[in-house]
Amino acid sequence: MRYFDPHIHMISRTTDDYEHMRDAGIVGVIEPAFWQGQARTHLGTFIDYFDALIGWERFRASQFGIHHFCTMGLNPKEANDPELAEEVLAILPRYLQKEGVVAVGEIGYDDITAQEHHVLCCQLEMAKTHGLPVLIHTPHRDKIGGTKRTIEAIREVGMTESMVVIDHLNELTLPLVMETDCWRGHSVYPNTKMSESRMVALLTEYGTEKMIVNSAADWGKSDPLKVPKTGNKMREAGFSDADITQVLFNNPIDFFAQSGRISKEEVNRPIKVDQTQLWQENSALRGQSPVIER
Amino acid sequence: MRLNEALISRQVAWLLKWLEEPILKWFESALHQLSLGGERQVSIDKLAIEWANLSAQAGRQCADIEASVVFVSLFDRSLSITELIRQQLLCHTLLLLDVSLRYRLFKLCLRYADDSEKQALVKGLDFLDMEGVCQPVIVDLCRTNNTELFASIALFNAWPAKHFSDVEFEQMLLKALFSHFNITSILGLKQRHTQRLSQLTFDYLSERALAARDWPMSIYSAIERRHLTREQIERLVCLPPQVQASLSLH
Repeated sequence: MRYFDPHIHMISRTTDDYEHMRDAGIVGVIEPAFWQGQARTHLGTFIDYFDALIGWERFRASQFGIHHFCTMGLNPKEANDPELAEEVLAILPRYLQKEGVVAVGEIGYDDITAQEHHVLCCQLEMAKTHGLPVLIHTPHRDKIGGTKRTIEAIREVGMTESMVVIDHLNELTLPLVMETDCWRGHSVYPNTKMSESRMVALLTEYGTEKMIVNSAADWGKSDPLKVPKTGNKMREAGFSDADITQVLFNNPIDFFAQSGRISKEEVNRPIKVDQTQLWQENSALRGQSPVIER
Repeated sequence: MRLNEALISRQVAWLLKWLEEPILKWFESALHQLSLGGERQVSIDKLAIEWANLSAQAGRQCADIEASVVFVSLFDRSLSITELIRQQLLCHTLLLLDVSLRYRLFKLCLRYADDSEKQALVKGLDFLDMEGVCQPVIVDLCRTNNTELFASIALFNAWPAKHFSDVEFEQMLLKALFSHFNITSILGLKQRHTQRLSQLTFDYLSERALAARDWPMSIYSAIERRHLTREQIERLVCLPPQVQASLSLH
């Protein structure tokens, strides 16, 4: 079974994670630009981070046979620094053009402030201009209110709903998104978001159409194997292999394929690992024998 | 940015009485050093660096007595000696400046501070900033991932309830719940309680319950059943009996 994790922050993960993910059947990932656990204070740190997403991290994933794509955006937490936010918004368009960038994201609300709304709307406009889909984060606090405001913002800007995935949904917020044409994202993450069993319950109740599952694994205590683990739970619950493939492989790629920069054919094409390759003279190996797949 | 100078004078006097050599000597020389900077009218940036240097020194000076915590009516909450000294060093520096320049210095000191130093400063907000001038920077600081720092703002601190907007106070309360804090330690919660706060808290409780996850027992202190919407009352029936029982009492 092949899996695709459409929301995972690999820059915070180890090479062991990449190996375990590939062993578990994950052949591709999308890494949304997000915050780093503490607020950045300068534009330069954003530039270096964005460059790493399209550079070193993409290379590092390829060294373990995994296709790496990313989304670019200014996250809602850091949107609250107005001066810095304007600087980041000014440089974002140049990244939205880059190879491997398949959406604007993750953007949205955190505290649900007026400043966050401004930054969200600016980035929705950017997505429209660049013809890119959008990955929207829903907040941890006042999740219902935040989801409603997100839908309002999408409509206010006139963004095509089918070009949007609203993420981190749960039992209370999924019904709100079901009334729209947006795609439905769910993060299976220990303690704070969904569990595998609850995810299966939602799939049983609401079906598989436009349903997307990710691990959202990051620098927190999280699990990069949550997508295949959800696949196992679906199988136990009686879902067919076709259903599992639809939710955990086809749906996310179909959504991001609206960018014209990713396809199932591409992700299905195995990467031939060649660990003798270097990125800016640097290898992911530290003295190990390089793997070369022929 | 107006300080409670009378209280600060009493706190300094208390410190000078309480501290012993060699820390006392170091503290007096630190205050003198800051005064010299003020007299020479050095830049705000240099004053902030001076405070940061002395604040770091305070941590090392008090390393042996760090475990001791003072709690007296003068301070309204538990504070370590290091925290107290850090606060007083900043108060001393702020009082050297024109009122219009104080917020700039405060922001810079926060910027240069590590999280333990930030904790010391936010614990003193009630006498450092009586008018709520620092509200934007403290709201931003609430976005921290450091639960100890967030707790220093949210718990046993009278300042947020006095100066946060309704939305900011709601976010602080929800984050406190998310962090599993005992929200009865949020000062001013009763005075700031609103219908919307009840509804938001109930939504959070519903999410946790539907996910079969736990929540702080103090959550019920922020929910009044009469404030819930019809849809929420209907949802209550689907929640565990313990939730229904707890809310029937409120």
